[in-house]
Formats: sequence, C-alpha cells, structure tokens
Amino acid sequence: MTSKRVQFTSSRYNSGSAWARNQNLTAISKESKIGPVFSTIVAFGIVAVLAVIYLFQITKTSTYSFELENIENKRAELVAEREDLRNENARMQSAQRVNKSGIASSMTTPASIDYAN
Amino acid sequence: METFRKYGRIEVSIGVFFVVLLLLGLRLFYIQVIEHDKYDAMARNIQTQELIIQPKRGEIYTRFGSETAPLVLNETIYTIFADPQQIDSAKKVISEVGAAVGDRLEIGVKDLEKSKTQYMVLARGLSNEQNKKVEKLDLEGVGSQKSSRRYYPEDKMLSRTLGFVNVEGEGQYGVEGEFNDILSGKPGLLSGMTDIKGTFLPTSQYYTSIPAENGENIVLSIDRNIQYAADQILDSGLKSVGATKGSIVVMDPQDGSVLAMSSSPSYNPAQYSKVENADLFLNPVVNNAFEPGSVTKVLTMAAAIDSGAVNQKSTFYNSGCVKIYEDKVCNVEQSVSNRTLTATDIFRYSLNTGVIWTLEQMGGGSINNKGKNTLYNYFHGKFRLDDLTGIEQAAESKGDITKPNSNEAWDIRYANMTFGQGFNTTMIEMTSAFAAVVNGGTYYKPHLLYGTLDDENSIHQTVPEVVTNDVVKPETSKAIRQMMFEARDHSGDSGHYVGSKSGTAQVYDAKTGNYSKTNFIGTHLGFGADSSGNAKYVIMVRVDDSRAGGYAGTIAAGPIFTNMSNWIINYKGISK
Repeated sequence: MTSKRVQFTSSRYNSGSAWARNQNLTAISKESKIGPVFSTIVAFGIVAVLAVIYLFQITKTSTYSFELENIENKRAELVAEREDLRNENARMQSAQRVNKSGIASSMTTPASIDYAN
Repeated sequence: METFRKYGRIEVSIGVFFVVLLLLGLRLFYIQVIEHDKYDAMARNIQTQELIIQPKRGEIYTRFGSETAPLVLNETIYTIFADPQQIDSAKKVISEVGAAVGDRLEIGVKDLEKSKTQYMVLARGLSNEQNKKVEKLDLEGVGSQKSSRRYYPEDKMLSRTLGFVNVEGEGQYGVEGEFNDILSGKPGLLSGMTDIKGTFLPTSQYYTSIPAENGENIVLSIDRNIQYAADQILDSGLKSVGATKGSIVVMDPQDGSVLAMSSSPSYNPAQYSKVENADLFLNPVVNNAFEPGSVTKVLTMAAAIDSGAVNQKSTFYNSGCVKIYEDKVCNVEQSVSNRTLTATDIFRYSLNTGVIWTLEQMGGGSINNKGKNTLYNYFHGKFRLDDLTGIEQAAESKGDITKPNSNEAWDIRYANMTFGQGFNTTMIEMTSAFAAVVNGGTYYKPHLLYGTLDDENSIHQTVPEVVTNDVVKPETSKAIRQMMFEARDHSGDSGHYVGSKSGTAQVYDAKTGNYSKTNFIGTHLGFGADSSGNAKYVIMVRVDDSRAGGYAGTIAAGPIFTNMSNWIINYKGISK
C-alpha cells in the first residue's frame, strides 16, 4: 500500500468557507493493486459459483420433472381406479342386474292400469 | 539438415505440438461448425424420445328416461411381461406372478427358462388391482404395459347394432364402425429430452406436448328400458315357436328415432373374437334386404288411396284367385271368396286379390304401365323402399325394385309386389316408410344418434331430419290408421288404439329358382296411437325360421308385436 498526497486549489469564490480563502486542501487517497494470483482466484471463484448455480438449476428442473412424473403417475392411477369404480357401478345398475334383483323379483303385476290424458 | 539444426529438440517438439493442436482445432472446427447440424441431429436422436398419447375413445350411452345409461365404456387393462435375460429366477417369477394374477398366467417356468427373446408376455387383460399386486412384487426383469379396451355393462344388449372395437382400436360394424372417426378422437404427442430412465424433462429444450383430443361421447336414441324389454320379448317369442332367428325394431314415428333394435341370436361384443359365424356381426334390421310379404299391403293401399284410385269405402268383388296370363294368384283365406268386400277387408283377410285390384285401379282398371308407374312412384319415390335411409350403421343395405320400364317389369311381378313379393327391402326401410304413412305423411330420416354428451353430462341433441313431408296426404294417413285398427284382431290388446298387419313371405330358393314351400319369413308391422289417433310408436317384427306351423306372420311374429305393443303402452302411459 502506498499513499499519495494531492493538493487541490479551488478558484471558486465563497467568502464563508475554507475554499474561499484559497487555502491548500490535502486529501490522502489509498490505492489498492490486485495482483494476477488474486484475479485468477476471483475468476475461478466466479466461475465456480456460476457453475454451482447452473448445476443447482439443472438439478432443480430435473427434480421438477421427476415430481411431475410422480404426480402424473399418481393421477393416472386415480383415474384408473375411478374408471374401475364407475364401471362396477354401471354393471351393478345394468338392466339385467336390476331385473334379477330381489326387489324386482318380489314385485307383482298390477291388475289394471289407467292413465290420465 | 541445416534448417533443422537451427532448432533444438524442444523447439521442434513445441512446433509439432502446435501443428497437432492446429490439426485438432481444425478437426474440431469441422465437426462442431461445419458438421454441426449432422451431429446435433444425432445427439438429439439419442437424447430425445417421442411418445404418442392415445386419446380416450368416446363412450356410448342410451337414453334412460330423461337421463342416460352407459352402454359402452372403457376400461384400463394391463399386460405383464418379462425379459428372460434379466430375471433372476424363472421359478420365482412364475410362482409369484402366478399367485398375483391367478389363472391369467399364460406361460410356465420352462417356457421362460427356454426363451431366448427379451420379451415374453406372462399375463394379459389384468385389472388395475392385479397389476398393483404384480408391481408390489418388484421383480427384476418384469414390467407391465397399459392399454384400454371396451367395457359392456349390459353384456349383449344391442350388440348387433353396436359392432365392436378390434385390437387395433378401430370400430367395426354398426355404431362403432359408423362413428369411428367421432369416437376415436385424435392422438397427442409428447416429445423431448429424457433422462436415462426415459422420463421426459419438461424443462428441457425441444420439449413438445400436444394433448390428445378424446373421442366424443355419444347418446343413442335407444331407450334402455324399451331395448331390454324388446330383447326379452323377442327371445321368449322366438323360443315359443321354436325359431332361432328374428328381429324387432321400435321407432318413434314423430321423429324417426329408433327406440329399440334387437336381433337374435346375438353375441357378446367383449368376446367378438370367439364368434364363429361372421353373420352375427351384421345387423339384420339394416344389412339384410328381403321380401317383406303381406305387410306391404299397407303401403300398396296407401298408394292407391293417396293417388285417388280407391278410397276407404271402396268395394271390390273377391273371386279368390286372379289369373295374370299363365300365372294364378290366390288368397290364402278362401272362406271369403266370391263376394263383394271392402278395402278394409283386404287388411282383415290379407287378400292378395284385393291389393292386385288396387293396382288395377291405379291403372284405370287393369294392370298396365300407368298403374305400374304409380305403384313404382310410391314404392321408390315416396316410400323410398329401395333407397339407403342413412341410418348410422356401417354398410347399410338397400332394397331393389324393378323399374316399370325394365324388361322384367312383368305384370305378374308388379302384381306380386302389391303383397310384398318380387321386390326386396330392409326392415329399416319398411319401418321408416310405414312411420311416414301413419304419422301424417312426413318421412323422417331414421336415426340412432340422439346427441353427444359433454364432460358436464349435458346432452347436445341432434335435430331430427325431415327428408320429405309429402309422402301421403294427412287424410290418407288417417284412413290407413283407421283401416289397420279396424282390421286388427284386438283380442290380445289392452283396449288401446293399435293397428297392425301381418305377413308371411315365401323365401326364394336360388337352387330351385322357385319360392320355397317350407321356408317362410313371418313379419308383423303396426303402430300404437293415443286417444287422439296420433301414432306414438311403430313396431316391426321379423321371424325367420318358425317351427310352429301356420302363418309365421300371425303365429310367430304377431304375439311378439302384441307383447311389445302392450309393454310400450304401459311404459309410456299411452291413453286409451
């Protein structure tokens, strides 16, 4: 680290400030120098971070794909189950079943039927 | 040599290194830039897969009062397979899979051990539950495939009208064949990169997902209750006369919708591959043209009255037989010969001489071209007995009527046509024409499609199509209804306004070139009306091989008509 003394001269007129009195102003600035090793490490660091982010994203999308597939499979399974139940329900309510049911066989034919117009 | 001596070994090695590097660079440039498209496509081929998404086939429903009832549904089934090269123990696989699927197991341990293929089916047609049991076993080298097939909760009901779906998923015959395009839907596509297990990566490049368009669900005009009753009544009617073949069709004459269409014998469409006689795949109501016999007298009379040749009160002298050149046509009923009878008596006694008389009247007093043209104009032009009706059935047949200007339009042929011989037609053509005659003169296109059913179970009804509304005049229609009512023997009826006509047609024997004296087709055609005389239903019955003796149209087909008619009167609550 090195420091450097810089002198400024202000030509601006301002009766109420130090500038106005044409005083010399001094600022001490610190200058950092980055060496090649440091730059290389930083560059590698950035690349590594980006690579991790990239890998994370890729893994994340793959995970989503698997989750999606699992949900799809679950959905297909539920649809198949619903289909089975619906088919069984249709079978139970078929005309043949209904006519052979205990209730139907205990019914009798009415003696006469009259219908209103 | 001097030149080489200028450079040391290191410089030369570096030089060679750079030359190799340059060559590699060039090669890489060639592969990555110039041949980019080729290798890109190769890579994509390996990394991406395409999957055709099969659409769900549309289901078929019947009407059930104001609701619908399922007739043809879909069910998911599974096929269990094994890769014999990947399994650990054939004995273990067969034993465990066998325990899960029971008698569905198709192969034994030796089959699996001996197999050199990579795919062997272990069991087919498994339910979801059975498939889950196999999945739980988690056997190495054993997998399952999913597919869909038709499910018929009503078993055989309407099978000869429905058709079936073959293993390729194509509708065959009947409704399945006719509506195949509507029912099948459109396949979708899933395409994109997959992982090593073949799982699609939706977030990857090239991912495409086009959903399948499921087939439309359709609702038939068939009323499940009437259909069930028709099946029962037909089967029991055939059994009582020792017949094995017969059909019945019930139609609403006010819009042409078919309410029931039953034929016996039938088959189970879920097991269509076991059917040995392919004729069972045809629908006799639609696919078979035949000589309908004396039920045609109703249409002949309608033509005669509508053309003004005769009227309801006309009388004629019945001589019992009519000689037409060398041919002689006689009535079956000879007890009413040699007397003057009314037009209604022609129906009552089924008089061939009577309808030949109406043909003569259409010609001005004799069988001639004028009379033939008039009859043909009605049979062909108005009643459409030789025209496809357009009912939604695959491969509909049509009748055949000899034109009056044909060389074969002999007088005897036209005389025979008046009582249903010498031409042929299908049951659906006959029923549709008759419906038009009794409904006031409107010919509706006979139809089986009531509408489509959306996902919310709402029916989008199709509009009945009027083909023509001048088949006969309303007064002709009324006269025919009245004559049929008066001519019918009402002993089996429940006191309602029912009219019908029977027919017993001899079957033409192609071997002898004559009509058979032992083989008859019995038919019965009629309507039922409410107290105002509006026709509410039309029924046609056909019995092919009655063993009961007598006239098949009366003995065999008649009771089936009466039972069906009475059942509909009760079901629909038709007023007396």
